[in-house]
Amino acid sequence: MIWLAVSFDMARRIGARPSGLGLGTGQARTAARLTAVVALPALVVFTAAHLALHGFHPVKSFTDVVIQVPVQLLAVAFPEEIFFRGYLQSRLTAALPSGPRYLGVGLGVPLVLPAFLFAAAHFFMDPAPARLATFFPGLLFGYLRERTGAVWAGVAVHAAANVVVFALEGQL
Amino acid sequence: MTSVRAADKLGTMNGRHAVLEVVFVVCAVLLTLKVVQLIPPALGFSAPIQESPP
Repeated sequence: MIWLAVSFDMARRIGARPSGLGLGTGQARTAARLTAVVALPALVVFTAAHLALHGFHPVKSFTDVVIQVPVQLLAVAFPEEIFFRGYLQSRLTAALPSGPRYLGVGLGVPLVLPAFLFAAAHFFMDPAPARLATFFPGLLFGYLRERTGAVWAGVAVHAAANVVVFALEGQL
Repeated sequence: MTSVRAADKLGTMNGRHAVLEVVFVVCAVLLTLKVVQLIPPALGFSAPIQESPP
């Protein structure tokens, strides 16, 4: 909850509206299209790579999987996306040049720094080198936020990715 | 020329200020979370023992 509290407090301090945090509707069609065409295939590739490297762990409880969906959406993905993509990325986008454009977004500091801080935060809370790999999904969530004008696509993909990772690791 | 230079400087200052701001905020939040994470063990509450599989 501290991610949400800090995001809204900082938005109030800098005079940003909720849409400035990516809470507006954004471009819903683009969000749906990119989620289907970019994010979900990326999740499938990640799942395949994880299975190839670490083997298959059968899901112990499908009830736990179902419970994890709203938990990951509301308690994890939404607060983190509001903070890292809603506040950090928006703040940096407003203040810095967006950098060279590729696939419709700037690949400069406003996209890369939040992804780096996202990975650093995960590593700080759980100092395992694998946590640094969250840099790459961080780039994907930043891309979705920039292209769609809102955080919702990132929230959905983030929550889905977390549930998939927990299931793949045999935690569910 | 002066106004362009002033605008450039302002832009640079804004960018640097924004980077410092977000890094400071992230560090502050993470330190808070870490302290919250460390309080229960410090007070003698340990994490529940995981049951080993049969």
